[in-house]
Amino acid sequence: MEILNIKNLTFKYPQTAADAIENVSLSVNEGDFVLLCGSSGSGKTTLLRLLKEELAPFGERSGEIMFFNNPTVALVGQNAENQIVSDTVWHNLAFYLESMGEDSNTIRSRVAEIAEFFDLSRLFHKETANLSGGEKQLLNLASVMVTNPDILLLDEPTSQLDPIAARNFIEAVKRLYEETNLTIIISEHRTEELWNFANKVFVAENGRITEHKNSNDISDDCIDIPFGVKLFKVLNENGKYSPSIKGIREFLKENYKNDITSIEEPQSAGECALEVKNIYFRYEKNSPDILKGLNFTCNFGSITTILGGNGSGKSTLLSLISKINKPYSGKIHIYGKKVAVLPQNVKTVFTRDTLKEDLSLITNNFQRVAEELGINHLLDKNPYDLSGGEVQRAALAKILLTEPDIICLDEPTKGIDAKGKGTIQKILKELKNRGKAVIIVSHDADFTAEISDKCAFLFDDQIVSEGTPRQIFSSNKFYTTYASLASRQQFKNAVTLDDIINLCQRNGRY
Amino acid sequence: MKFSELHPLSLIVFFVSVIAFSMVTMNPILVLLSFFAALCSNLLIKNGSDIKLYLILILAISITNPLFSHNGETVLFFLFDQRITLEAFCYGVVSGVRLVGVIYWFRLFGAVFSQDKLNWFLGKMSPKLSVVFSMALRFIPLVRKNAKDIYNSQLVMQTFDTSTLKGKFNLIINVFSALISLSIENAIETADTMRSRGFENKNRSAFSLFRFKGKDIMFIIAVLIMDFVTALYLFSPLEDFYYYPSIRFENWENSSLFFIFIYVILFMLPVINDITENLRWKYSISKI
Repeated sequence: MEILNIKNLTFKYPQTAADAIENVSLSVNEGDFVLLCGSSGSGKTTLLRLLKEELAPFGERSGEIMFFNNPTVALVGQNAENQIVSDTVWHNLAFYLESMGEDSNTIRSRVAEIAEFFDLSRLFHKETANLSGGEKQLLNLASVMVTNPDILLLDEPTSQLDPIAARNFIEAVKRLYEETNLTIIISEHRTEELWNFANKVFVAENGRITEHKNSNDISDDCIDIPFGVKLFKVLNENGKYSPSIKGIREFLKENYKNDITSIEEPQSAGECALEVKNIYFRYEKNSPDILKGLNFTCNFGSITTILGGNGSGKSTLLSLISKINKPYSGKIHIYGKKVAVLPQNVKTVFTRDTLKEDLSLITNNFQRVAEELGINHLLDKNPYDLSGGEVQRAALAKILLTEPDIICLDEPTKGIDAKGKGTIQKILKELKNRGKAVIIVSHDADFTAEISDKCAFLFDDQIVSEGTPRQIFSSNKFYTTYASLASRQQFKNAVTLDDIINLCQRNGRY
Repeated sequence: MKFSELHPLSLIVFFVSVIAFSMVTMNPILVLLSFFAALCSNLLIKNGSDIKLYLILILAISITNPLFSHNGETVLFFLFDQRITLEAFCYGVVSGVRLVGVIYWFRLFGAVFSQDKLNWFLGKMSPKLSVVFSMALRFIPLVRKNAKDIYNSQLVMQTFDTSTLKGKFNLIINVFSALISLSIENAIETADTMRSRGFENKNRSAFSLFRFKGKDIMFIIAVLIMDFVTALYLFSPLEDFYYYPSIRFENWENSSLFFIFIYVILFMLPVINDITENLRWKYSISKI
């Protein structure tokens, strides 16, 4: 039964030239699980917000959105922090019911039930300030589920989360879908886990949103497609369609030879840029050590990645390198002239109303850098009005203006779509070629494998393994890339999409 | 159930009676008993009393009073041609003890009446007020974290030369203005969220995790009965105690003992409650 029908919907934000959404016609049935994919700025968020009456953006709108049988709509957005209203977990859960003027006993039982379902009962009395990002987003999901929605809209809910928290969140959504009669529309960059699960896939491209039927109708611009779909496209295996790891593995085995099993590592050795020797650090006198006897080096003209889960001390290590904090034991030798850090919350780099003013705080000769990073057209805008990818490039421009030769980036792929990742990758490689030392802190294994010359795996307050991405990811069995998981039966050290394609082409088909 | 776990209403009834009674009487027996009960409760429930600091305060008041008040018959000595009397000194000691006693009761109230209890109280007055309060509580750590992040980002970039006072000042101004922008930016999204969760609805209720249990009813009834008895005593001439012109306490009768007994029970309720609670726990363990 149809629950939602959109006819010729067009929407334009005030004072913009192009339509944010252009002539979109879609239909969603009751109980559908819809995956909405497409790069940032393609109109996904606008569409989802238009569907939620209270959050509908202001602008010119034509066409029709029809709901059948008066469904209740709930939305969870991408920024977990800003959707939290109150200081304690239980109060967030109770918020909607309080608004509706329910009595205490009703609220008590509803809240208990929801907390139990989402496994929030152990956090029930906690203050929201002490929750992790994943816990916060789960709380937001639970808080909107209290409203008893018929349609649940999820706008890139995991984009700010680390991979493990993201997976937990997606699992909760799947469970919710399977156990209740809920219609879900979810927009996501990480499509691997949802592509097969969803029974409809909508693809957004420049404001046009259409239903996707098979892998051939995806243009190359839309690169937020699962790894498998991408691989089959590049290998020209038209019509083949299996994004699961297992499917790819079997396909490769059946179709491609494996005479050549490994890729030669390019040798590179630059001068040492930074040396961290046996450092110990803790935040407070009586707190446990965050870093214990950690050693780490990186070279000029190379990209070094520090991998590790939440709370493993990655960001702390960056704060030591940038001298915000000091280790209580051990030494950090910096052989470069200047260290710059792109923080996790990139907005904290800006202090002025326009980007131009902000950049000229550092120097007036920002034209060249602005051009290189493609932010020339944004100079008159307020930094807060930029999209995720734009604000990141703008922030990077600002820190590059300080002319650093050691550049640290804290989670540069957080909340960035595939296109944005491609851009940042290009920029970082360019910096590397100019002889800068680049240090990235990340838990994004796939991005790391593509970009780094060296990886260091930080776990339990020290670095437990170190090597090139091919060494690290081909020897890791679980914490590794999709490409490595899919090809390890066949090839020895293929850890990226390009590696697989390279080896497949050199080996040839049976 | 520990004293601190009682329903906020029970706690309010208790603290209002105890503090009001402590403030109206100058009878040294009652003042000392209140002080002693407050001290015991603080030691037991708040795990500390800062007794040294408060003894100094009592001493200071005891010394100051006779310097300014020269009533009383018994002159101890003359200081700068002013009479220093025994009565004024005693009055000073008792009012010092009374003040510290009341401070102790407030300290205990502050320790026991946590944020969520305060929020319950605000919710009873106005549900919207209680939401604003809990939002503020959430905002404080958030703003603090943002401020630190912005400050660190600017410091690493060395946007401002922090070696001079002017540069430092400039840095702080810029961090502050960025903090305001960021907070407003975030607040808009939070406001959207609140609207979509029905905040604009008129008949809001205030939920709290507190439940009024049988023990709370018993507690409140007990406190009110003892309040009545104590009030009778305080308004009767039995309690009258005079410092000037000479110290007099003439109306002592045997029935006074009964009133004082009730007064002690009332003031020692937190201690009595928690000690019986501990004993009951120990006893039930030994049965297991």
